[in-house]
Amino acid sequence: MLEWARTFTEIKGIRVEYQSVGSGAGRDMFFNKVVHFAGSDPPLSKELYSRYRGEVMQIPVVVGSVAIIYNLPNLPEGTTLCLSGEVIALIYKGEIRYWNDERILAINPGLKDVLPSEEIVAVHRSDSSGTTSVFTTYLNKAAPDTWTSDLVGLTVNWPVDRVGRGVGGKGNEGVTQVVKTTPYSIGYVELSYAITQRLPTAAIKNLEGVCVKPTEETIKSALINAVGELPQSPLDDWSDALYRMMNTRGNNSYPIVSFSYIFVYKKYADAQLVQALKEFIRWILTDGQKRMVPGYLPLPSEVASIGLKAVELLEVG
Amino acid sequence: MFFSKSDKLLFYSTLPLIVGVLGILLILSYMILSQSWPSFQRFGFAVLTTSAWSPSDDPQREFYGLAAPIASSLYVSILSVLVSVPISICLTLTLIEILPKYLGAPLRYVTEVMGGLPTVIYGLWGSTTLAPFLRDQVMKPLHDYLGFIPLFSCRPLTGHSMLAASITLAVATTPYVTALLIEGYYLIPSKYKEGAYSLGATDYEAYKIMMGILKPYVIAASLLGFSRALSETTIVALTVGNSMKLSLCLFDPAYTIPSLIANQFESARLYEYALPTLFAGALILLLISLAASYAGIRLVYGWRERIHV
Repeated sequence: MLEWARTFTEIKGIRVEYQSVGSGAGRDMFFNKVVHFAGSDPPLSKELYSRYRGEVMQIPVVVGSVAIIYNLPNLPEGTTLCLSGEVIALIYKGEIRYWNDERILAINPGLKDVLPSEEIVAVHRSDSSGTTSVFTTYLNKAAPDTWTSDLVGLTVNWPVDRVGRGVGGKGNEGVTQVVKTTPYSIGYVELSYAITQRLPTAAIKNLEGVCVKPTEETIKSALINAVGELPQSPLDDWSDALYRMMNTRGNNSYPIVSFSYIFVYKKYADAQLVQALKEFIRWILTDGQKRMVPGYLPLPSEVASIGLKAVELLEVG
Repeated sequence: MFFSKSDKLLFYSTLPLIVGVLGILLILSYMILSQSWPSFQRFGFAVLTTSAWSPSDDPQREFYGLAAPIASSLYVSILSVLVSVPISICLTLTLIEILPKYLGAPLRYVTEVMGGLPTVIYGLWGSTTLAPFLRDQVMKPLHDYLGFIPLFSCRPLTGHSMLAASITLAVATTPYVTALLIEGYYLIPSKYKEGAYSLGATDYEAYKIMMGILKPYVIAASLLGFSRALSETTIVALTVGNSMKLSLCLFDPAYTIPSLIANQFESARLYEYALPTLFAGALILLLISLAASYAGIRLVYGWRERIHV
């Protein structure tokens, strides 16, 4: 979003100022009308949506993903660790304690002699985070009996903390740093971080039972399978969209994909602002889609056209 | 009361400042009390006796408890004082008495400069250098060999723990405590030292006597150092591990109130009871800090009067 704001300002001469403060603070500022638009990873929850129904529009702008990173010093280069949603949920619940637990070995029979008998250190976010929301929504969909819905959200009361094997890192950077410096740890970060920091990512078992790593193809495949279940207008309730996009069908689909959204109001008093916003949104959904930071993917055209409806719906008032 | 017109003018022109300072303290206290009230109203005393941080979009399902951060704040601060005060005492004696003037004076300046360093520097050093070092060289051996002692019984995970925070805090507050002690040392009238030497005391005995006289001041300096450590945010947020866990074990990660606020403040306004709970934590911090500082300063004034008799 920072890149887009900068580029748009340069190209069109309309100044867009964007500050990266974290989904929580950003939303807060947006609802207090301190800022004109806000970026957010998770969509509005049902409660928030009904409170602002008809006033706020949610526009998906980019496709992102969450990668599972780990630090296993004795894993040879090039081998892939595969985990299932159920196993990851059990790890973060504190119920799987050692790396060579039989449930992990069952998915990775080839790593039998390599996975050590060490305790797993589970790293999570200590601050309020859209990435946590995406991650926990996936765990809830993939393993609803293990990871119940009260453990889903921007901030979570992590069960693994209570058994003494959970550590919080501040921001994606914090989690990355903790995993990098702690042997036998596991963590979740935005895919762009895993790519730029060159961290080993785990493959996850998708709905069809295939272990897939997060790559452009696997994420695209997941999206194609999810498009049919998405809301059709920016004024609709997108709170379930995240849940429906997780763990989709398709042999080559990566289970954890999400949109990043921008929230805008439907009406603004300033006519020039409305005009500028319309240009900005149209640009993001067309030209902007061709300029992506590594780790983020452009929207499929069906989804971009849903967002473009917002350009029509924006009005002065 | 006033001898001249300019005295009167001086008094009245400085009066607003005095009132202002008191006023700020009162306004601050009132604001913290009133902002934290919704949290006490909703959770009652449970917010002080349980440990949790569970926000939710539904206000009825929110649940917070500050027991772990409060207890860990006290634990970490006391530990850091226990480490820094003995070091400060030795440093004071070394700088003032033992080292020759040409070494002692410049080193004193160095110490005071270190006291003025931004604490974030200590925090970054603690997080990237000290914590991994402690984990591998200190925590792991202690846990392996002395793991039966409750203080060492938990497995050191990342090095970010109460021990790492305490030691980094101790390093950061030692210059402050040392500066206080040096000041106190120079406040002692020279007649005591002269008296000791005239009675035939050796250097060591004279220092012992001086330190004995300084004792109440040392306690006061410890209390002030404790108050400082309690309110330290950056260092702790970077080294303590930020985990809602209440434990005696030194190697466990934890939350202190300042680090909880630093981590959760950004998003606290999204939820109904999160910000009031953070203010409740600030309230507790304020009360403890005020009590400790007040006790420390009282001790210093009482002591100053006694040694001038």
